[in-house]
Amino acid sequence: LVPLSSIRPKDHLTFISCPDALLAAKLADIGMLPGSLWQVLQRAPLHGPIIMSNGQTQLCIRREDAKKLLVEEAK
Amino acid sequence: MKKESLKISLVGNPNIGKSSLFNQLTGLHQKVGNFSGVTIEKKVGTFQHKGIGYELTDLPGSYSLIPKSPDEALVFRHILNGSEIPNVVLVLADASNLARNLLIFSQLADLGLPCVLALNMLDVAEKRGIKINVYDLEVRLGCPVVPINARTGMGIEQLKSRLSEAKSPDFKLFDIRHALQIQDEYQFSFSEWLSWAVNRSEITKGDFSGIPEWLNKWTVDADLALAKETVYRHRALKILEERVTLFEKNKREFGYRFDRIAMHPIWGYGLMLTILVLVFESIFKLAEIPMNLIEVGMGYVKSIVDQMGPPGLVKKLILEGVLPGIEGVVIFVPQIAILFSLISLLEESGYMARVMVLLDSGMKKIGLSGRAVVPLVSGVACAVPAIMATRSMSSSRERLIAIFVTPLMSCSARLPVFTLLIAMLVPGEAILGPFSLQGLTLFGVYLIGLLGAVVTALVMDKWLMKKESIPFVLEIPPYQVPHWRNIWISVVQKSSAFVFQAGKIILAISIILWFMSSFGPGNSMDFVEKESLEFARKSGLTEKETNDLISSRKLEISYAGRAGKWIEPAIAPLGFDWKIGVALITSFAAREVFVGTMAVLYAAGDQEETTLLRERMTQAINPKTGKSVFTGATVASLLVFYIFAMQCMSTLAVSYRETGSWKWPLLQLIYMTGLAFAASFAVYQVFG
Repeated sequence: LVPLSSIRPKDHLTFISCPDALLAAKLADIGMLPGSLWQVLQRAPLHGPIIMSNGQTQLCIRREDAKKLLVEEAK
Repeated sequence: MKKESLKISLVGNPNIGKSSLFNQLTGLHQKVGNFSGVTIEKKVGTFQHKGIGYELTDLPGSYSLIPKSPDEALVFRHILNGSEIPNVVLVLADASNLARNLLIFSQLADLGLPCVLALNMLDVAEKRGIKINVYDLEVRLGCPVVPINARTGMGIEQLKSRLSEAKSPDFKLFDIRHALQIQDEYQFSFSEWLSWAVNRSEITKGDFSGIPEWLNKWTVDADLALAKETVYRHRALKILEERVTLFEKNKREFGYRFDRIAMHPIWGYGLMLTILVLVFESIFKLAEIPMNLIEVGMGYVKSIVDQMGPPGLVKKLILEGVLPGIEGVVIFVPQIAILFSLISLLEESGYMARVMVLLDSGMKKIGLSGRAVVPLVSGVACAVPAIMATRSMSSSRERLIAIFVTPLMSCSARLPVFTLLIAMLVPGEAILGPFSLQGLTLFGVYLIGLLGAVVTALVMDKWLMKKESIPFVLEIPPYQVPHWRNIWISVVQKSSAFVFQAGKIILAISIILWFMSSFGPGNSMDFVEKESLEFARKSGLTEKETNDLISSRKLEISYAGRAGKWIEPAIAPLGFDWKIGVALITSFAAREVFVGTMAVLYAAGDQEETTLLRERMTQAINPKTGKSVFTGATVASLLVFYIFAMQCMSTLAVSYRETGSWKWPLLQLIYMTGLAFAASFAVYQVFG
């Protein structure tokens, strides 16, 4: 398991868990569920948010929050 | 007697066309106010269909009924609490992302509320290869499901006619009483859970004081359970989605490629800056034509009034107090309309969300998130709606910072002051590349305001209040072609809000000003007139010179002149004379009054026109020094003063309403006036 922040743009990932419960709840609301498959589209300039997509939703998470998200690299 | 109308609440995820649907259903029959007890905008609209009256309330966009932000808490409270329980909940869902959009629907269904589901963006879904069997969905949910297109208005009539069929959906995921037993150890009910969750959002402070102590010690675990509940719902809804949906091959949507430019580290910021410069240029240049028309039109009206009836006090009041006051209000409508049409264009197209992402890393350094960009950009039009726009922010700490610094953004009410002063400072013909030097100076003035806001926010972030972290998770909506109707409604609403909110104050001040400058204590006015006539006869002045002398002497002796002279010692170090002092006093209510005051002071009853005013101001001589009043240093100092000074009663009133106490508006007033004094003093002492 690696933090989301370490995934490079264009790479795919499976979201596994997030120990920060409030963040996890927010992510769940927006449709980022444990086990869901995502692709990092871009990391916004100037150490900005990470933008990713699951084909239906495009969302962005701040990089410091992304460090809290545990993911698995997927092909 | 009017029949009781059916109360409908409109809920749905953010950015899926909720306000478009609201506009489609209600048109211009909208009232904008506040939800009771809280500071969140409440849009209520009405419409008739087949003899039934409907009252539609637009609730803030949210993903879940369980609140994680003040906005979402409001949705819950509006739907479940007190007297405002709606008869029908109209849920808007984005067909291209059905499962996630149905989350809030499933929570409403579990609570047994009568629902109607409007399915929007079927065209977008189809482009993405998603086909939904609407009939099947309706059967499975057990409540009306209506396909609509909130942009074109397709399906709106059908939606209206099916509102009366609303029923509590058969589709239920949880038995409410056992809702949270997915986490066995917690035995509290769904509604208790919701109350607790609402209690956490600061906005409802005091409303849910009766929350049992034992709930608090499980804060973290409760959050976890909350996430689990949401995940459970999503899984169940995903299965539902798969049953009613036909997924074709995954097509890539428009906009993905455009984001390569729009979000590029270099081109992205270049594009953003270009768009912002274009916005400024268009309010500066485009608004000129209608503004000139308004000036000409008002001149015509004045000449008609002038020919009616005998001269007297009433006619003088209308010509010199009321009409200039109305003109001072109407003259802003073009600028406000142009700016808000551009802002809503950016919002509607989905570009604003990209701006938020691009600027987030910078914004968080000053204690704000990318969300603060919308209020700050709106602050360029008017701090009043901009401060209202802070309502979409999820942290009260961030909101306070945004409310505090927004009035430092140069609003359109400062524009006439800036325009007048810049025209005196910079020659109109001067050009630098494709831009006029005046336009560039104006842009610089806006940048100074922005800098003031940034530095202030930075200081507040470092010194103010304890740190808190609310996770920033933002959905980036797909690009969309903006719909003219939404832009039009936004423009009408914002313009009328300005005319009727700030307008009243401007008109009242204009009349008070006319009184102050037309009357003085006792019979001093008559005395001054006789004295001046005698002086004129002795010196052999022409008739015009005599009249000018009388007007100017009368003004000096009037209440306004006395007030200006009284504060002159305090403002002399800034390079201001008593006439500027009078304008500072009157424009405390609203900055743009400055121009009107100067017009009255310098033209003293003459036609109000900025070119004439500018000439007279430029020619003005300080009788004490024999030198020009408006030297470059004085004009620059005055310009800087108006960048920073609060000078707006409407803003203070809105701050009071939004923060719920006079503490913040008073701090704003003291801080901004102090800043303006210090900056003007520095400018005048350096350049004077």
